[in-house]
Amino acid sequence: MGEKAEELLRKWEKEDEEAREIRRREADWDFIRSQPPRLRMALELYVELGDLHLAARIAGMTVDEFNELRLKARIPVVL
Amino acid sequence: MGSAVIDTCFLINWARFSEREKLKLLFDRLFMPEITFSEVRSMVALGLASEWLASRFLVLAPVLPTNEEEVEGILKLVASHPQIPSIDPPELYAFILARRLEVPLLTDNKAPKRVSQLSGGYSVPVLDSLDVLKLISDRGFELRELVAKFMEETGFRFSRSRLEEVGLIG
Repeated sequence: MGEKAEELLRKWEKEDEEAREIRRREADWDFIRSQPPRLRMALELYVELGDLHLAARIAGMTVDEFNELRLKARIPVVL
Repeated sequence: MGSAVIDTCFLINWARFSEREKLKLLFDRLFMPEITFSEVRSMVALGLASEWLASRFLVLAPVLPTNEEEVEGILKLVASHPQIPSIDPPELYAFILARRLEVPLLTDNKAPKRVSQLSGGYSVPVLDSLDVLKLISDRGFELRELVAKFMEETGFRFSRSRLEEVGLIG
């Protein structure tokens, strides 16, 4: 792998860590903890990874339905 | 102006944005693969989709046979780099459709953009919401105001490095 690719991978790791911190900080943890287990797991996974498709699959919802839940849980999408 | 492919996430995010019509300053037609449209369920997103479909600004694209080698190549790239998030079939299809049509892909998922950036072989212009807001601002709108409104209305945050990229912080 070239130097440029290595640099990109490092940049993404840093961006992902920053995004995770923002999601953890802004999430409404009382709301998340009040959810049924399956939804709570999905929301917690979203906080950690920011992956809407994966979290929606855990929740048993479409991405659109999960996005509504994300908004209620005040978890931001971080780009 | 030209066209672009959009995925579900982009549509559902922009459905909540009051300045969404400004997308028409950049594109005259948006294609959405039927496979991704089936994920749209909320009234907010369905309302916007109906409005755009009625005006033919949004067009549903039928699912075309995929090239197995192309799909395999992308999945191998994702599998070998944990920094690239998993890519779901609808998202993968939107990426392939954009590549075939040679138009940008509008998505807020990180995987397509990272695949495109890491591999010249799958190079597709991938624009996320911040990129699109920047392009809109180039048409004479204040980027800071657009970004602030977008964040407030859609529950988005932008990382420090992305804000630096578009010149909003030094």
